[in-house]
Amino acid sequence: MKIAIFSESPTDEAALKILIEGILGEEIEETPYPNNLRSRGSGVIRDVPAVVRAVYYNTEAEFLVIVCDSDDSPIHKKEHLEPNNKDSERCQLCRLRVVVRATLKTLGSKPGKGNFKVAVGVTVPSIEAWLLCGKNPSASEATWINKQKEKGLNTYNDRRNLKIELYGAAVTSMAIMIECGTEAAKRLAENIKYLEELFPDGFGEIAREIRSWKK
Amino acid sequence: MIKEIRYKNFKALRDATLPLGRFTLIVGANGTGKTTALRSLEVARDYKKIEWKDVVSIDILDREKEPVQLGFETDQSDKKITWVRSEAVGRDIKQLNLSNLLERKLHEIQEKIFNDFRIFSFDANKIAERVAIRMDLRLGENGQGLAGILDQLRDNDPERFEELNTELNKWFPEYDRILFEVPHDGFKSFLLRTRFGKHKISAENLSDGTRLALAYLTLAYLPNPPKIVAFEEPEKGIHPRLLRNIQEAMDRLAYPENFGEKREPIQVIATTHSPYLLDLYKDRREEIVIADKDENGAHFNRLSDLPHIEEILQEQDAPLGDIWYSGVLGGVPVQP
Repeated sequence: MKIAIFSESPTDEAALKILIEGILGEEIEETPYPNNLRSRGSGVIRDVPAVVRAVYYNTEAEFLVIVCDSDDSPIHKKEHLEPNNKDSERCQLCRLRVVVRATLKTLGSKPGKGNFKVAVGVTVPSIEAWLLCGKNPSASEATWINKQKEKGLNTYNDRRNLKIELYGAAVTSMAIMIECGTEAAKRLAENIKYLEELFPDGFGEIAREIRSWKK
Repeated sequence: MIKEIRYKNFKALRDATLPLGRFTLIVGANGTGKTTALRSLEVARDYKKIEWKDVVSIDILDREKEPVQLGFETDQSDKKITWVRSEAVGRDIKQLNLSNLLERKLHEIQEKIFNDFRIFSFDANKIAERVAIRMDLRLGENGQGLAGILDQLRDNDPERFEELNTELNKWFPEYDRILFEVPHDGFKSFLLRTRFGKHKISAENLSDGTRLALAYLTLAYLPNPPKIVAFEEPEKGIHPRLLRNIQEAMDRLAYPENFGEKREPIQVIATTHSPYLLDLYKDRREEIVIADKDENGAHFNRLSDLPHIEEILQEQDAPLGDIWYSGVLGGVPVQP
């Protein structure tokens, strides 16, 4: 399967490839641009239309996976899908879906791209939480939903602490981050269902979507 | 480490305080005192040579009795070290307004900290220049002497030199090794070898960005870099995506323990105008200082200390650099 990945950092890119392979149970052929698709920090949603079009028109990718951090945005809930839900306007996952859907409608026909599919996921609050799943008992979407209820949307210190827990320090080398991220992703790829259970919306949804591509 | 510098009548800094940490990134418009703030450390280093008229704020040049003050709070002493320079009418009196004890203390601290301070503003052409071989080479503030520094590293610390080559290959996958040549007797220059084809590219034929990046990388891998280093606009000539590597080089200096280094931390201060560089500090707000200017002169504020900063930055889709550009954080040019 030829899959392109669009995310926020080299650590995300390395870990996501392994997690996607864990979901599919097979190695994927990543078809990136030569130097990977990457957003400028929190700018994923803004870049999505151009990235979707470029992957569709200019690569052999059959599928595109887009993942961004929730950071301080409201965490996705089922109620967001109800009509006129106010929180959905600020929810990263809902917004990503809206942008992707709208962009896909604008694509012209291209031979061999009839089944082109895009899956979107949101790490809550950042990829380190996914990667600590199973190691840190509080690494779950439920934890962050409760935290947001108690303390509001600010996850600045929490994101920092997750980095310290996963990489050993808030500031460290990209090599160490990729190494730790890859190691954690390999551990989780063996038990993908666990990650789906603890992150049912941000990860669970994307896992189900990616799995459906195999069928 | 210097924890804070207090400025009074020092050039554009009429009354300002610069908070510093192990790493500090100063962002702001032109003329907001970023470079002046760095130059104050040169004054502390060379304090005996400095004239009042060289450092006093221009608008009080006619008020000879107004002293210039620099106050340094360091982790070396509980007391703030204050440097005062004043000029009496008709006479050129350079006055170090300190008790003997404090003067000795200042001297000690000066020896300990300020003597080993450098402001780097790399110049791609100087980096590529061939170097006369000497034992006491230091990396010039414009990058001059890089070939000699690399040569010394290879001879004196081959393990580090190998690590540097490995890292170079991550930064620039097209190159796999730093090599040297002797263009004339007593001179040395460096080359990079291409991974494919093993072609040797001389320093002067490398791109400006490659030369500049190599200077940052080399500094980060030196066994004994200066104790305090400042970088003026490290983004100059560097591709925005490569700024993550420059960030990492600066972090290796400031947080060596997180990179497996055994040496003492280096205090790093950088100035920038780059939204792309600022993006990389999204989760490191306490290390960012915003420089601004108003009718009372230039002043500094830690980003994390700005009022309601948590509320302002939460739920942002935009990268931090874009938010800074919008002006809501300050540190942008004032419109007439």
